[in-house]
Amino acid sequence: MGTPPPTGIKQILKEALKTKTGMAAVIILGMMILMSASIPFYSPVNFVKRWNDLKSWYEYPSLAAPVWVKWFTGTNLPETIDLTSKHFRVTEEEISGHYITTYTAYFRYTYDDYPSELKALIKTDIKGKPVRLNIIFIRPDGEEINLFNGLVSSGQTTFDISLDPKLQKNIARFVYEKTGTVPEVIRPEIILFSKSPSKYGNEAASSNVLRGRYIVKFQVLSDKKISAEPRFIVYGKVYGFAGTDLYRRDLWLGILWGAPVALAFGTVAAIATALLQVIIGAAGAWFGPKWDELVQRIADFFLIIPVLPILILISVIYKVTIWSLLGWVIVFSVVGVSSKIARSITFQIREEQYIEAAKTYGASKTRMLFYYVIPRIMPFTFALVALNVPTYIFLEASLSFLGLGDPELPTWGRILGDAYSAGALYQGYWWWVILPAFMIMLVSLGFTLLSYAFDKIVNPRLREE
Amino acid sequence: MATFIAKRALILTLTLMFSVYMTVVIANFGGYVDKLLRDQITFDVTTALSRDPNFAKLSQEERQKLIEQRIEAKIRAAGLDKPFLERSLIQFTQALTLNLGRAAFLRSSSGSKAIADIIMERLPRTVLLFTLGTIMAAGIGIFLGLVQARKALSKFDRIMIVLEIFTYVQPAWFYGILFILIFAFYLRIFPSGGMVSIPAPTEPVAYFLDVLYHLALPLITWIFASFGYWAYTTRNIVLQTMEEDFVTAARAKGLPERIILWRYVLRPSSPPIITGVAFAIVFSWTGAIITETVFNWPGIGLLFWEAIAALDAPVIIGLTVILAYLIVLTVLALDIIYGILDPRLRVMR
Repeated sequence: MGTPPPTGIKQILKEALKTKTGMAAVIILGMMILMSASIPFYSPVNFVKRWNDLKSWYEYPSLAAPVWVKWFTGTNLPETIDLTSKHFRVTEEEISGHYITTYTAYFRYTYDDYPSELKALIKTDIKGKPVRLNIIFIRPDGEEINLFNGLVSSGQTTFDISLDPKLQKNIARFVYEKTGTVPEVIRPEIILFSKSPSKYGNEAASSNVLRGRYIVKFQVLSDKKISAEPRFIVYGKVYGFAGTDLYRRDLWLGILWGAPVALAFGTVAAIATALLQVIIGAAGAWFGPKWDELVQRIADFFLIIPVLPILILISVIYKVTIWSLLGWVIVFSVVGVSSKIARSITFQIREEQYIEAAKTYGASKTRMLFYYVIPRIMPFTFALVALNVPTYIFLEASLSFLGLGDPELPTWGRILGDAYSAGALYQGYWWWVILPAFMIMLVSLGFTLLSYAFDKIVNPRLREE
Repeated sequence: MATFIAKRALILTLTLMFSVYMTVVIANFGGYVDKLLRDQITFDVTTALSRDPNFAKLSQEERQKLIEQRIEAKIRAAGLDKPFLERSLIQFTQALTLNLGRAAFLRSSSGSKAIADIIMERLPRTVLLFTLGTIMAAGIGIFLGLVQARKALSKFDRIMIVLEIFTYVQPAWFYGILFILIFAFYLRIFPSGGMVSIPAPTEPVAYFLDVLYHLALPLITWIFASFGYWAYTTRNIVLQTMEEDFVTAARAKGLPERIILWRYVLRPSSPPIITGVAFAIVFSWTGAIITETVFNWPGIGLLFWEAIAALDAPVIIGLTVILAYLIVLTVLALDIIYGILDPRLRVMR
């Protein structure tokens, strides 16, 4: 069937690039590599630490969908409005030795849906006794709600308006004063942004959202001049390119970070195991029947031993990191399909003339194995190596999915596992599942195409005429 | 022929013994699990005693003595006082004689601690899902592979190859989560997991239909994840045979393509395919750990996961040993069948 298959590594790569599938593979994988390379520009240096420090994500909305959902649904879903101390105007009054410092900020709310959560924060530098704080929320229709009236001590104080029962009581009072009924469920983020707060319970419809200019006031009363940093966060329902998870983490950063981890783990594992398998398979066939028998028995052993359960067992007992996992994977893949290929090719090569020639000039058996036999075999494993990259990425993902992977690094499998255990499948948090899944599929498509391109070159049965 | 089979049987028995012993060592983590169990006993005894009001009245020395006595008694009762080598040999002989013993922590839903009971309770469920799925996937895949081999290198063939490799590379659980999201959450066609509704229907026909309803999505997932392997390997094996000289000779004789395919191509192509199917069926009995977890399918895979999470070494050993026996018997059976069917093998050995 035409010309014999090329054997040099460079030659094969060159040939692979000429095919359509090879080009597609290079484009997909090139994109992945670019994505990995872009990480230093996107994320802070200590990102891995931050990913696991759930407290550091407090300014992000929880379970927000990606921003582009807006364009598909046609509703203007709220984005997060973060009023930091820069946004607040400060006025001071002095009344008989007391200072009243008022911080006022406003924001325009023009979205079609309610915010997901509200939070007020204040940082003060007062020393000594606590000061009195008053948080006032003024709606576009002029209604004023006193969210909090009480003492705060120095340092950072956070008011979880959506969760704090004390603040919810104040909001319930507002509803009672307005309508004469007390709501059964108090959801401040809906009541405060609703045209008719009494009916929000079954009519939290988007048509009921009160749009306009909202004002937030922090009043601090103390006996000396103080400085404070107020902050008011109106959490949205959409965030960023990939949304956020239950723990408020920006999924896009996690997905980006997953790319180099997956690529590195997959390629290193695939290349290392292929090399090892080829060396062992070829050595068995090369050094004679006794060695061959030994390799065959090791292969039987690995056929009988359930590898995935044992890897899971190891991860349960030892709490693997990604690098120790790599080591275990290699240990359990010393014999495999590549060693079978290597074995059968070595049997053919053994009889060839150039081996005879090497023998006559006195090359040692080991030298011949490593210089003349193994380089001949490697091209035949290329397709398999390319195909094994996603296999190993999925192996890591499988362990991470069960919560047994690397405890630090954000990997795609871990994101999927987090999503699964948080019930994303049954609550419809699709972005938490679909986007990391899409990335894994894209990588495996890239390597599948690459594998096919290699296979076509080495294996003439696939060649297009 | 007889000596060939005897030789194979001997080698396979030795391999089996080695694998089973290694499993015993690995499942116990070279004695590490024993240490964990001893720690657990120490912890249990200490906390139990510290809750006992009479215990607080004793002096420091007496307390220490009592704790040590109780721990020792419990350790001896659990057989943990013997060195690991001895314990591993006992477990090894028990495993080889298929005396599976009792689980350390797990129980069957009827409350039995006997590993045989636990496994027999789970096995039919796994067979229902995975063996059925494997047979169906193999059927669909082999058919596709034959079609592709006849139209080799056509556009259809090339697209199918990429599709098949691509679908096969991703594990079933991965499709599982996507399918649950699409078909169970959004379209609401199938239930999201479990084997029966809660509460389960009592009438047998309704129960059967309910199980089928729950079976559908994991079964589709399993078939989707594995048909590609069968199609691609079948295609390649058949194509390889088609290039053999005797097929060319048959073509040169002017035999119709149908006869060439059935008589000259399929017969020599079938042994490797049958081997593959036989092994896949054997392996299907272990289920799939993550797929069963995702679909909450209470089969062997989920049992394996529960056993690992609880570090229940006897259950892990029991499952592995049964699988090892099945594989070895399959290998031997295939050796014998091919020895009879393929005259070349008889002469060679």
